[in-house]
Amino acid sequence: MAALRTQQSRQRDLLNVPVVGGFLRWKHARTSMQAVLLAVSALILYDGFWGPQLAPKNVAGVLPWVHWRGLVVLALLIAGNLFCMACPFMLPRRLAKKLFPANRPWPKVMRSKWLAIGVLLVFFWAYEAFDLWASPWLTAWVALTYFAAAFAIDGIFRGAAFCKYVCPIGQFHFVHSMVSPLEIKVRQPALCGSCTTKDCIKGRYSQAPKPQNDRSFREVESVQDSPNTMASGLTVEDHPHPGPLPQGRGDSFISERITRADSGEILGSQIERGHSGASRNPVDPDEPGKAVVPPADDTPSQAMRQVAAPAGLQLVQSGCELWLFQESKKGNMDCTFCLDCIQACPYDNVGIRLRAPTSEFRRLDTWRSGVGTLVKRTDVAALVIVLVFAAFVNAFGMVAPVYALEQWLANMLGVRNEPLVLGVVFMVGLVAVPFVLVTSAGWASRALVAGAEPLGATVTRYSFALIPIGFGMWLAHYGFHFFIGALTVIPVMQSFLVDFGIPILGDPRWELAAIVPESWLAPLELLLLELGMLVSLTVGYRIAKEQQRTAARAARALLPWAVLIVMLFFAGAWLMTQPMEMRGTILG
Amino acid sequence: MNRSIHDVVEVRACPTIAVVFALLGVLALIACGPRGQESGALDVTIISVAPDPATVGDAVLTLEIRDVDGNPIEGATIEVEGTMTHAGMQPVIVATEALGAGKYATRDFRFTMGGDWVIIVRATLADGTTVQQRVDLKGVQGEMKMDMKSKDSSQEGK
Repeated sequence: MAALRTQQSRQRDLLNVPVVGGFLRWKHARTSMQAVLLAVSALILYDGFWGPQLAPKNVAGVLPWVHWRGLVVLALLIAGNLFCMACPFMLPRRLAKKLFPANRPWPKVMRSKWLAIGVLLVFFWAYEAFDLWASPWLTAWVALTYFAAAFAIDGIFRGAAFCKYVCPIGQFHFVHSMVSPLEIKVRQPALCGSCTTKDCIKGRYSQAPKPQNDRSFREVESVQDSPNTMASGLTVEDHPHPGPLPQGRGDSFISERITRADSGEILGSQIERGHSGASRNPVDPDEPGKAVVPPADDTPSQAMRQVAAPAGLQLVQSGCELWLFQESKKGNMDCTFCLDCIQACPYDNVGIRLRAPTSEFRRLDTWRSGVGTLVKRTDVAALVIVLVFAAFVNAFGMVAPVYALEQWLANMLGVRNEPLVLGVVFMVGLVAVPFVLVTSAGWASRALVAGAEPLGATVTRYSFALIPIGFGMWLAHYGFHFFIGALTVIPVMQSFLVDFGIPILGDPRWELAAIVPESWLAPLELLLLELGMLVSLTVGYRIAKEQQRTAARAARALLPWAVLIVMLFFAGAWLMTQPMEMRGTILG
Repeated sequence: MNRSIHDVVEVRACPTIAVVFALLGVLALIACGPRGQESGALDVTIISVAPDPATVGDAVLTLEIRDVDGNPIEGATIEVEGTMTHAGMQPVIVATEALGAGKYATRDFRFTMGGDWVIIVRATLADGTTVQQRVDLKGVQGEMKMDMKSKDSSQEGK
């Protein structure tokens, strides 16, 4: 029986799938994927700046807005956060880690999702206000800005600060990968209990001489000599844990702080563990105060263990730079699928595991490594709410009624400035309306069960139930563009080569576009939206059931949220029935 | 499992090599100059659209095509492609019939969506040379009627 379970467990792991698993285990797997997308990005930059300024004829008009967006949501639906895994912005960023110290801590005041939410709001507004979809030139500038931002931020700050706190695309992936069927997680938790090195979070170091410019905690792909060697140039401090402990943990916890032996710099990983050594959990110092288990006090430990080899060792394999400690990591939030933990684990105990897409929404009030307790993360809830409503507002920007609304608003405000009018639309659609709706739902939910939980906590808790319906809308929208225009990349590439005198693909066949009959699209969109609604209702009930004592109370608590979810479904269905319009500026 | 320093150096060099190659690729493309410029000089004017105003559905575009000296283009084979400012849609590509005096009318043209259209005129001249010109056609009305007369694209000249 145990053997059967082991076999089934192995079958549910992508790393055990022939060919794919072998590729993903290859130490250069991520770099090779990133290199391919970097080459594609280079093509986009060139064509955006120097190609024809008509989006359907330009690589920068077609690949980002039709293919990349469509493939992103499809990948999230059938697999996971594959595009963070292959993110091309990470290669220049890794170069920055080599060139610059990259050892500053990310400012405490910014250790949340609020900055990323702001960037997302600006992006969604700019997309419509400046018609990014119609301008290869602006699209190229957006891509270039991304490269520059990742390079600059991660050249200054340690870890993956750009991914965790800034990147709006990454936040989109983090949130929606919560409904993905794959998760990077530990295979046998018991094995982690006996692990003494914790390479998955600390990284691994070699005996090799350290290069002159290697002054920081940075990433290199390789493996370490001995799996049990704690060769790290790190110091681990133990001291009593004064704060509240993770649920289910005993009182005999101490915490560890990993510190560079040469500089005394705190690298950022703190670990709580029982004296038995049977369980360890990291505390992420880059997380906002109460959102994670509070770190131990900052005073030096009384019992300092010098486990490090002499200074001068070289990091050969990073641990998780987003501070997700595998042993207590739960779910996909903040996970870029970078595979560093898989490469680092000396026991081959981390896999890419198949799971039920709703499993991540279980026990939202338990502490999660690197993320904290989700029901206490108002910033994450705000991110979720913005992304959910953005799915509908973004689609609304592509149908005819948006022009009537713009005209009406412009007349009412007495302005002819379209970016200003759109700014109002987006502030209302992404901030004011969501605030009113979720606050009302939260208030009603509390009232129906006479709940004692603060309103903010209720809203935060149930906001996660909105993710599937929002994802359904993104799938319907971006999936539509992908299915109706997937083949347009062929004539664009044919044209590209013809213009350079290399007509090896023949003359452009501009008539190529859809990969499915157009008549399939409306039913497909509706199906995706319906699935989103049903999963949202399921998740919502699960969240309610975990909090309420009886099924009847859970149903009452869920009712206002169910109404909101159904309202969003009908809003999406209405949007799908509206005639699409590809529009420029409407206000003269 | 043991790795030498050479392996480490090789591995560390990977992203650097990828970035350098990408930069070299972009520089090589830049050195080739811009692409996709208009391939010839044509003066194309849309002198009428039926129905007027342009609306989603079947339509006839009448074009007047002249050379740079203002002489009407006669005896050319004219293909008209209608596309939009957004990527990912199937363009409408149709032939035309000559009306004389440099005027041509589209056959079986159809506006498939409301919004800003781009009309690309490809001409194969009597001497076999091919030229192409782009004309913008703003504010094709969707199925829902509304005042969109003032629509204007902001994408020119980038």
